[in-house]
Amino acid sequence: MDLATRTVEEHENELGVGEKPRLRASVRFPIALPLHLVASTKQYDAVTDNISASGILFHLDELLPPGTQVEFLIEIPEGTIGAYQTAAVHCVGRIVRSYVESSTAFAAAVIEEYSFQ
Amino acid sequence: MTGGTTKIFMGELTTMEQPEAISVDGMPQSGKPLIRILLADSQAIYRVGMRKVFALEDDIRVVGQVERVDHLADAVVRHPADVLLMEGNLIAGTSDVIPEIVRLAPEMKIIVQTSGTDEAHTVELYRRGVRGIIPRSIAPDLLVKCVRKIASGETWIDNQSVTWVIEAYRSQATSITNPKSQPRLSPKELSIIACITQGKRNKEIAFQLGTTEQVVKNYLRKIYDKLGVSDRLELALYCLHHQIHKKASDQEGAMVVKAGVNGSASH
Repeated sequence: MDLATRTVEEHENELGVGEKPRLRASVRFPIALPLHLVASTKQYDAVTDNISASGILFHLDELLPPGTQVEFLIEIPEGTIGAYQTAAVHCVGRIVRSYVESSTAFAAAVIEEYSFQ
Repeated sequence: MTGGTTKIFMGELTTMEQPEAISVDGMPQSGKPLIRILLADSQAIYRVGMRKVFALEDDIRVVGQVERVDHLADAVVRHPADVLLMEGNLIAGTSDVIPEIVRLAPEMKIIVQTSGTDEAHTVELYRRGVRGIIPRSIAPDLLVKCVRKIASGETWIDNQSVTWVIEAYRSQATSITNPKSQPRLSPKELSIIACITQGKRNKEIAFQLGTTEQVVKNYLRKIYDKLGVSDRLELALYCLHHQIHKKASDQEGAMVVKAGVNGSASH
């Protein structure tokens, strides 16, 4: 499968425009999707609570300390966005916030780089 | 500032002589970084007044001035400045002046002086890249403070404008997540979105659809504008959240069924 990693600059080049960032921040979509995460060589399974183009909130079994570098794969179910097979987004990011609520661990991460797979 | 002499020609650009207080490395003797200002104002009295205000400040230097908006682009290029202080009336009824200035001088911060404010105008100015909106009647010391703050990278915004901007942000965020306000996407746009979520690049999409990369770029720009998203991931999330493809295929199915029923009835 072809990777399509894009930075903001690449994205702007791709559109052929040098548009300035808009005032609006990224919109968070309340979508629950399975997430496979690797942090400090350990693997975790998690579920997303909300996702935006710049960050993600998810819950898992363990509390991840802020500052942890993470890599994760968000699974997109078959047929939901036109692909008649499971699609996935591979992301590289960093935990910026974590907390426990009703004995469930939550973590928020910024997405520094992503690629569709 | 000990003040160099000034040459003013109405309607033309002019530069100020190097003030004596500025050292050769461009740093004022006070040690503060030098703030270069470009004035754009149709009224000479305001330009003179503002220059007098800034002349008292060691770290602020007016590097150019312009009387008409059609001279502005030229002035921005010829007289690099840190801050553009512009009369709001100069850009009244225009929509492309500020984006053009931002494009020509992305590092320059823009301050707009207005006689009165309204919600839509204020939000639009900040949306286009203005860093501060101040009244024409602003006190000199506040003007200087505003220039320094904005030159250092801050935004100058009053409480009322903060409320307006946040409200605009909220309503935009609501409309983007509200299924009722979804725009219609053509079959071609839907297939481009599907290709994107499969990780295809523009060139590959163009090849698959039998068109050029530029056409795909144009489609993408249109899709982004329609949906109010800003990149591929946000586009995928939007489609996922609103089940765009499922709805499209449901509609397609309903049309096929309807056509079938009509076809049977006619036989």
